[in-house]
Amino acid sequence: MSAVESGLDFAAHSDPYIRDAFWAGAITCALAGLILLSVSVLRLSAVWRERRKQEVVNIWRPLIAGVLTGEQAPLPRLRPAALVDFLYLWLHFHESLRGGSKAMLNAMLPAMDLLKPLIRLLKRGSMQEKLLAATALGHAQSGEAWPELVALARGKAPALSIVAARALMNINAAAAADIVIPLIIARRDWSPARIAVMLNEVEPVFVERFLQAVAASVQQPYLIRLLYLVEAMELNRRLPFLRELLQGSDDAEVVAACLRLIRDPADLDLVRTRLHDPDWRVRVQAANALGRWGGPQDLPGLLALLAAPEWWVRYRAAQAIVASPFMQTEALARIAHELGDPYARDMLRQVMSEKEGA
Amino acid sequence: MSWQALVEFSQWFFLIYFFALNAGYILLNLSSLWVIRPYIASRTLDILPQISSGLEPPVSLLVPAYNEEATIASSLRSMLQLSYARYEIVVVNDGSRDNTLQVLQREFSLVPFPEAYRVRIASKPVRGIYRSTLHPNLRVIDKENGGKADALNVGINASRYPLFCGVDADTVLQRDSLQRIVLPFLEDHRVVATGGTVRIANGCEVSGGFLTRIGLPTNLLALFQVVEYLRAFLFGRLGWSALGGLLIISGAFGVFRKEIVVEAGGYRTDTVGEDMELVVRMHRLLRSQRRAYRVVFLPDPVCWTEAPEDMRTLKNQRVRWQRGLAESLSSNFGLMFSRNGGAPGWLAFPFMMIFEWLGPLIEVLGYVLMTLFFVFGMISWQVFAVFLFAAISFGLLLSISGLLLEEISFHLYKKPSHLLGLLFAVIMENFGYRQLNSVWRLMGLWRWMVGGKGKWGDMKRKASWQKT
Repeated sequence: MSAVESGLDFAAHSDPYIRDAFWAGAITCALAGLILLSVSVLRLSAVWRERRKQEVVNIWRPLIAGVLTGEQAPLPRLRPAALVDFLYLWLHFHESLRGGSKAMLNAMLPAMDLLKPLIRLLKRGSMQEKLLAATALGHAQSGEAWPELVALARGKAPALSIVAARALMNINAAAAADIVIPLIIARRDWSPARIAVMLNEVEPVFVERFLQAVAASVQQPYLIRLLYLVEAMELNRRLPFLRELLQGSDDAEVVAACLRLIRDPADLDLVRTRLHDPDWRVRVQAANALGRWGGPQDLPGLLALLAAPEWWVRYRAAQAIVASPFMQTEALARIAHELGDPYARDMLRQVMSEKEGA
Repeated sequence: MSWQALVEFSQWFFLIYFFALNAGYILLNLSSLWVIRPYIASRTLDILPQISSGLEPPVSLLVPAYNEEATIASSLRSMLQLSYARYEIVVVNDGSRDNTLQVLQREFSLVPFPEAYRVRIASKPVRGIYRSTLHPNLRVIDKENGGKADALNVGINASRYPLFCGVDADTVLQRDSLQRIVLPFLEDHRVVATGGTVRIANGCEVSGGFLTRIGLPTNLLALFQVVEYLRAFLFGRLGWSALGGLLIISGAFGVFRKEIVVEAGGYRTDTVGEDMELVVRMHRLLRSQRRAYRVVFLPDPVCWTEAPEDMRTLKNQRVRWQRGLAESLSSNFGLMFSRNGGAPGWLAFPFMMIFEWLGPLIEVLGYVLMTLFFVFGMISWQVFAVFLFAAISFGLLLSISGLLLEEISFHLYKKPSHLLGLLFAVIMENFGYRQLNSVWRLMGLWRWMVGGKGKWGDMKRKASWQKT
């Protein structure tokens, strides 16, 4: 009996439903089979990659550790296929170390003739390879890679461009400033967190140039982004442009950011003028700043803030009062007792309790 | 319409529906594939030791707890060890009937705390607020029972920071999960919510509150759920996120911008799907106000959760989920095809309506009717056979696509035996399990239609994966 006679010839059945449904199912099954094959191939290649990575780690981890302890033995040649895994390992060491050990690691790359292969990766590698190569070349402070890194820093992919910018800053901070600072200002797709990390590790010459750029941007709409970055740099010094901004700006976000950056009691006169700002975010930061730098004369202003309708203003004012070195526990208890406003009293008691538990 | 015409119409309708449903999912899969490779490549350097930028926004971890005396202490210990610059944990004991509060008091040395608690979202009364003397960033709010959504609202009221992260009390987070899930807020000020991937902890080993060994469950139901979760997160949510139409962020692990949630009115307490409902409502609110915003799903910040291993608990969970979905969509109907609805209103909402909300009804009806037609001789065995063949093939393709994304991206199940186990589940779940799920979801739809008050889902926890 043939397939047609038995009704099993679904593929060429006279009923269009049977034929179409069969083909839909068969094509789907074939696709599923293809995916299954891809999964198997991916798994095999993952196993192979893992093995290769393990080999590289087994060989090179002790060798890198040896370099770090000052061993002078010549290093073996690195197989080109092992370059990416080696870079991961090398960078892992690099990002985990501080100080002089990094210089020993950096010296490894030229000693192993890896600079040229790394520049080749920068030009023709995958995204992953370019990221690794740019980071390594930056650490190795290889000037040879400068043109490629500049091109990548100005490229479209944000993850890659920011890593290239960091490499430029590592190689020559002063020269990089002209290229990277305009990019920091212009590129909205760069992660502020990554920029902040870069700014925290860069040489003082770059920091000065960056602060000059911020000072020159006081009228610009992107100023607030730059102020956040300055804040993340945790500079423990007076920034002259803050006075200008605190005196002239009406933008609550900008003023609040400036108040967070106050590091000098000489600027407190400007902080006090902001205690009654209509925007509660400004008052929160004014209370914060007075908590850090204020004196006994600021107590009435802070007590007034305890009656603010906004929870955060009350909270920061209470923190400022409680943290003041001139306030004793008895005095605080007395103030809390005498406060007529129950919201102010509750907040002061909460913060006093927080301090006791700290 | 004659019987024969009705039968013929039904045949084609169900086949086309199954085809359209799966074609929709395949498109989502393709959209996930489109974004996942560059995403993974751009995170190449993330496996290296990371330095805090100092810009990471502080986060309040909100942990609603109801009868969690068995797992709450170890969950909190793992949360207290997260690698993140500044965060607080606010546990909300929702009137537990067991010793959850006592366990917390004993394990974390709680003392009453005179908090100036402010009510921004209405909730059941708060009975007491406690602070840990061991961990300054841990507070416990004890309140009258009001359900998970109510507990989360209290957590929002008590939280100090601009972002909050809802975490289930039985969830195991990875040490860097919080760091990763907050990243989009830092990179783009338009981001209002982010969700991470949830994976099944059954079969894994947890020690000291952290996952120490990844494995597959031996229980068949849990194994099927591993495949289901891969599918749901790696191409369901990632695909929708890539299209800008993500409507769900799992209550087990999601971060929200607090002010937007407060503006939207917080979690609704009269739904069992409060997590999805909130996200859909946020879309509706922000779309109607024409504000620029993004809801983002990240495939790599992972949290692990225990899956039900018995039929009854699983059924209850699925009934509850379907009911939650129906409530979320029906109460935000205004989003669909709204003038400024964008991808959520014009793409995701109708898709959810047709394939997720009505899906179980049509799927179950399809299987039942085709079987009846065959039994009563109204269709030939060939028609019945090709229908089943096509329906099961579609399911198989979807299941295996999830596995492909896992292999391309994170490749967490590393052993060959894991792959074989997953392949077994991928094939076998199409023979009964998925159909059973459709029946349970249909029951959920029915419960939604007849109404009734939602409550905390009763979950039978074994926690056999927890070593300490």
